[in-house]
Amino acid sequence: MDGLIRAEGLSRSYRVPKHGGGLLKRLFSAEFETIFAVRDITFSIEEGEAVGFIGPGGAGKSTIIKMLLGILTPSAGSVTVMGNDPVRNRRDNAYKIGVVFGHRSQLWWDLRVCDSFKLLKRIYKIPDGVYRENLEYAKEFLDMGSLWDEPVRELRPGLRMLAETAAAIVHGPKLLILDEPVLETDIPAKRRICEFTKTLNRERGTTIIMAAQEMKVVMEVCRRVMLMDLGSIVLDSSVAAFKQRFGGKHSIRVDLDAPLPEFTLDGVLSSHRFGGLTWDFKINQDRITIGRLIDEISKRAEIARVTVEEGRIEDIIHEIYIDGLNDELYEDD
Amino acid sequence: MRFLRLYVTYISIFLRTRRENPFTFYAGVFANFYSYFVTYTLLWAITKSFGSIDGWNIADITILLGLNVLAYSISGVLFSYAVYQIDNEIISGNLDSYLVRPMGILQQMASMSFVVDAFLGPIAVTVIFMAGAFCQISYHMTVYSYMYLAAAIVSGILIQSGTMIVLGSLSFWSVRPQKIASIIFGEMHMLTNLPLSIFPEFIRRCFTYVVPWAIVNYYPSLIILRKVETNEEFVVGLLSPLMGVCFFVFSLYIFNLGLERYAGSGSQ
Ligand SMILES: Nc1ncnc2c1ncn2[C@@H]1O[C@H](COP(=O)(O)OP(=O)(O)O)[C@@H](O)[C@H]1O
Ligand SMILES: [Mg+2]
Repeated sequence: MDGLIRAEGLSRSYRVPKHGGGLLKRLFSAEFETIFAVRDITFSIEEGEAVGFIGPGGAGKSTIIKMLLGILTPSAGSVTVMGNDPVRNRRDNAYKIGVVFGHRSQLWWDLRVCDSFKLLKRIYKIPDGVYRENLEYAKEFLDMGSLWDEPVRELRPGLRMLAETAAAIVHGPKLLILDEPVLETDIPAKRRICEFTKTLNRERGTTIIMAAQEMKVVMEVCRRVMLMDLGSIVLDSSVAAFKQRFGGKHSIRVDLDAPLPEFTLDGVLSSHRFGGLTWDFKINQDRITIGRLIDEISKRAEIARVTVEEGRIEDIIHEIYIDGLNDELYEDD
Repeated sequence: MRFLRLYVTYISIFLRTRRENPFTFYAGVFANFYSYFVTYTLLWAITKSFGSIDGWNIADITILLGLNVLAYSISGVLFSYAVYQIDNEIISGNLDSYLVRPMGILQQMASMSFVVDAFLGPIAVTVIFMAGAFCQISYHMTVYSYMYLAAAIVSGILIQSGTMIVLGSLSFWSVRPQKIASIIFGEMHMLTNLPLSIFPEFIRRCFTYVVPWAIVNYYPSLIILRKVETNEEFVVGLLSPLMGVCFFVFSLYIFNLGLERYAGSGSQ
C-alpha cells in the first residue's frame, strides 16, 4: 500500500518584509526575504498510526498540517493524503478527515452545542444511524452531557475543547488531526481528550496526527513522534525510543530562603539567578536521583520551593544537534 | 440539495433561538419594517404630488422599488455575512475552519448569518406594496408576464448576491469591504429606486453596464410595465435574467480566485 500520507521534499516558504532598517526604509524600499516555514521534509504515515509533531513555536508544525488539509499550497515538493492531492481534492478528503484546531472554533459561536452538531450532520451528510452512534461514543467518553444545551460562547475553554473534539469525529473520520488541542485546556479536560483520542485510535483504528508544543500530551497519545525545529524534522522515532533517550532528564528549579554560594555535585549541571536565590538544575538520573539532590541542597540552605519539569523541548533539540555534531566529528576521523 | 437541508435546519434553529428571546426578534423585524414602510410612503407621497415621475405613476414606482428591495433583502439574508465578516474570518484564521469542511464557503457562511430578521421586515413591506401595485396597474398581466417577473426577481437576487460576493472577495486582497459596501448599498442604491430615465446618459450607462443594477429593477420594470421605447431597452430587458446568471457565475469565479490566493499566501 501507498501509505495514508506521503510527503516528499515538501517545502513551504513565505515572503515576509525584511526586518531591520527604520520604519521609513521599510515602508518605501519594500524589501522582502524568503523564510522557510517547512523545508524539504519527507515522511509517510500509515493507516492506524498515532503520530505526533512536536517542536517549539514556529517550528512549522501548523504549516505541515495546513498542507495536509489542502488549505495551504506547498511551494515545492509533493504530498498525497489518502492517495489524493490535498489541495485539488480538499472537499473529497474533508469527508474522511476530522480536525481540531486549538485556537479556532469549529462550532457556531452563537448557538448551543447541540445545534452545531445538527448543522454538521447536514454539512457532512451523515446518515442518522452513524450520527447517533458517533455522538453516543463521543458523549460517553468526553462526558459532555452537561454542556450539550449550553451556548458555545459561554463554555470554558476546556469544556469547549471537549465539544470541539466531539464535533471533529461525528462524521466518523479515518484521520483525526489535532493542532495544539490542549492549549488553554484545564487538566481534567486535557486528560479526557487524550484518553478519547487514544481510544479512537485503538478501537476504531482512526489515524491520529497531533501537533503540540507540549511534549507530554503527544507522548501520552502517540506511538511515533517527529521532532521539528526551524522547518525540518530533526528526529523521527517511536515514542518508546524517544522516552528512553531523553526521558531520564529532568530540570529542577529550587527557590531558597537565603542565597547559596556555588557548589558542585556529580551528575548535576547547575545555574543560578538572583544572587543564588533561585537555582536551575539539570540532572543525569543514571548518576544522581532527584531525592539525593534535594537532600544535598537542604544540607546547605533552607528550601522554599521545588519545581520539577520533564526535559524541555529546546534542550532535547540542542542535544540532538550536539550529538549530530559529534557524529560528524567522529566520521571525519 | 444539501444546502437547502442545511439552511432549513439552520433557520429552524435560528427561529427557535429567537423565540427564546422574542423581543429582539420582533424589534428587529419591526424596526426594518418601519424604515422601509417610510421609504415606500415617501416615494408614494412624492409621486402623488408630482402626478408622476417621468411618466411613472405610483404603482409603477412601487414595482420598480419593490424589485430592488426584494433582490437586496433576499441576497442580504444569504450573503451579508460573507460581505461583513469574511475579512475578520481571514484575519483571525478562522476561514480554515470552513475550508476543512466538505462544503462551499459561501454556502456555509449563508448559514452563519444572524441577521435574518433585519431583512424580514423589508420583504414583508415589499410583498404588501407590490401586491397592491399589481392590482392597480391598468393592463392585463399574462402568464408570460408572471413568468418573466419570476425570472426577473431571481435574476435581481443573483445580481445583488453577486455584488455582495465580489465585495466580500475583496477581503482576500486585503481590502476591507465594509466601507465600499456602505457606499454601494447606501447612496448608490438609493438612485436605482427612481426611474433611470430621469438621470443623465452617463449614469444610465454606468448602471446598465458597469454596476449593472438597472438590470435588477429598471429594465424588468420597463418590460413588465410596457414602457420599452428603444431596441437597447428591449434587448437588455429581455436578457436581464441571463445577465443575472452570468454575473453570479462571474462573482463565484472572483471568490474562488480569492480562495486560491488565500491557499497560496496562507494565514498565520
Ligand atoms: N502566513 C504567513 N506569513 C508569513 N510567515 C508565516 C505565515 N504563517 C506562518 N509563518 C511562519 O512560518 C513559521 C512556521 O509557523 P507554524 O507552522 O505556524 O509553526 P508552529 O505551528 O510549529 O508553531 C513561523 O516562523 C511563522 O512565523
Ligand atoms: Mg502551530
